[in-house]
Order: sequence, then C-alpha cells, then structure tokens
Amino acid sequence: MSRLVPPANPIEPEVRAPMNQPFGELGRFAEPSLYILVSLSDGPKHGYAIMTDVEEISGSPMGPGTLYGALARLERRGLIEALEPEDRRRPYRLTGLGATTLQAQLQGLDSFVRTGLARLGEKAS
Amino acid sequence: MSRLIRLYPPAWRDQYGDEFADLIAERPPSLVERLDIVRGALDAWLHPQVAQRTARQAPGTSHRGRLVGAATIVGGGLWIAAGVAMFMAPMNWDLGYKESQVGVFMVAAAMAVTAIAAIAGSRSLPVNSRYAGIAAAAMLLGAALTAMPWPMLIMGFFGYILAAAAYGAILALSPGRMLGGLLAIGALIVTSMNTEDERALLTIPIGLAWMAVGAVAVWRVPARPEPLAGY
Repeated sequence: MSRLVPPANPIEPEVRAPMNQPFGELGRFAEPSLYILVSLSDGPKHGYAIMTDVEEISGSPMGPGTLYGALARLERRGLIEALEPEDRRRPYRLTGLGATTLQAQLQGLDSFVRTGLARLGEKAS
Repeated sequence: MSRLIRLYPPAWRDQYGDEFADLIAERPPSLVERLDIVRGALDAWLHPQVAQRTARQAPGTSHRGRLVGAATIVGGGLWIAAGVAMFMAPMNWDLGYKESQVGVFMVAAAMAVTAIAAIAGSRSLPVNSRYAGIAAAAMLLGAALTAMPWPMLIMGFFGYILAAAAYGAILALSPGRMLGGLLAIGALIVTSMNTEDERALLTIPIGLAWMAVGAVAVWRVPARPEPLAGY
C-alpha cells in the first residue's frame, strides 16, 4: 500500500520532516490517504463522492472501511477538515497543511518516476 | 447494515456513524467491501483516531463555538434576570397588576438570544442537526411573536417554550449533550410562570439550563487541535 509514497522529498530540509511525518506513519492507509488528498485537491467532497472519484483515479475501488480509516487519520493530522454537514453527509476539504503535504508528496513521486524512467532509458539504450 | 457499523467503537460511531451509514446506504457494499468494513472496525479499535466521546469540531468552530456558548450563557442569564425583575416589580394599585414591562422585555430578549444561539449551535450537532435547527427557528419565531401585543404574545411565549423543550430533547439525544434534558425540563417548568407573584421566579430553571448548555459549549471547544499521533 505504501508503494506510491516516495522515499524522499526534494524539498527544503526545514519542511521535510513535517511533510514526511503524516504519510510515513500511516501504514496501509498511506496510499488511500494520498488518493483521498488528490481527490480533495479540486474541491470539497463527501465520503461517497471521494469513493467514486478515487475509483476513477486509481481504477480500483476503495472500501468504506479503508476510506474512513484514512479519513480519520488525515483529519486527526490536520491534513483535511470536515465542513458543515449537508443532511447526513459531511464534506471534507484539504487544509493548507494538507495541500502543502500533497504537493510535496506529488513532487517526490514525480522525481521518483522521472529517475526511474531515465534509468530504464539508459538501460534500453 | 447498521450491524456492521456497530462493530466500530462508540466514539468512532459518534463522529462518523451518520455519514458512514449514509454512504453504505447509497452504495450497498459487496462482500469484499463488507470484509473491508470489518477490517476497518478492527483497525478503529486497535488504532483509535477519535478521542473517546468527544464531539467533532467543525472547521472554524473554535471561535464560533465559544461565541455560541457565550451567547447561550447570556441568554440564560437574561431568563434569570427577567424572573427576578418581574418578581421585584412594584405593584400598580391603580391598574391592579405589577409593572413588569421591563421583565417581560427581558424575557423576550432572553428568548431571542437563546433562539439565535440555538440556531447557530444546532449546525454543529453530530446528529439530528436539521431537527434541532427547525426547533431553534421555531423558538426564534416564538420570540418574535412574544414582542407583539396580546394574544400574539402568549402564542409566541408558548410556541417558544414548546420549541425549546423539543430542542432540549433533541440535544439530549446527541452524544455528550445530556444537559439538553435539563433544558427540556426547565422549559416545561416555565409554563407555570406568572408575572404577578413568586412564580415569576420559575424562569430560573430554564435560565440555569441554558447557562449550563452554554458553558458546556464553551468548555467543549479545545484551545488547540490535537497533536499528531501515531499510527
């Protein structure tokens, strides 16, 4: 589950620790958490909308138990926050910390992917 | 399906139970997803992410929660002050009844303040927030009618009282808001109020109940968010 979490962040040392902390300790919820943050990056969504959006993004469904396990962890760590409920649905949105963390994670992934592709290219040539 | 939700710890259900039930009602889970829910429940017991029996803080509610709580306390205080003012009001022997206009005005003010605070506070209730909002709106309507001449005054008064009792009962059904029961009882007691004698002091129970509800609302708001915790 943690295969999408990059090994390091190409960001300044002073902000590296807090960026790594939320994901490094999430265990099997690390990857679902990343999907959730990406899903919320274009605006607030409630649980069902996140679930369907993540299914579109990742191509595989996220179970309700996993979804809420990850949501609880993200909320507790201040990466997302709940908005006022609409009926029984409660939308969630990215916090400032969540957006910064997501950006750092995606930058790390991007660097990781480019390095991997470059090495594959070197090997092929 | 609620049997699956009951697998989760009470504190977790308090915080996520409603929306989780809504989610699985909207998209009935497959067998694999049911197993995922069971696994999620096990995780929630082993690695609790929700503090025991604490209400969720909606974003930005820290300051607003305190304001609502403070307004509720002020409203409760107005109820008590109104009762004392009516009790202490001098008798007008020419008219044959007490000059309790100031007290009545304070009652209307207490009703309005508590109703507005209840409308604002109802939005943060984890359950039945819509019904609480309706009851609070009815309280505000009652308060507005109370400021009008007879017979609208008495209709508004009892309308507020009934709505406040309903609001208290709804509060009492919400986790960690048992004091709502006191509000319901206080509202029923104040139906026996009479501005002309010591029964004017029957506003005190509802005033104390509102103050208690407000104090809990202020106390419930944490000064700082919880620190990051382990897995």
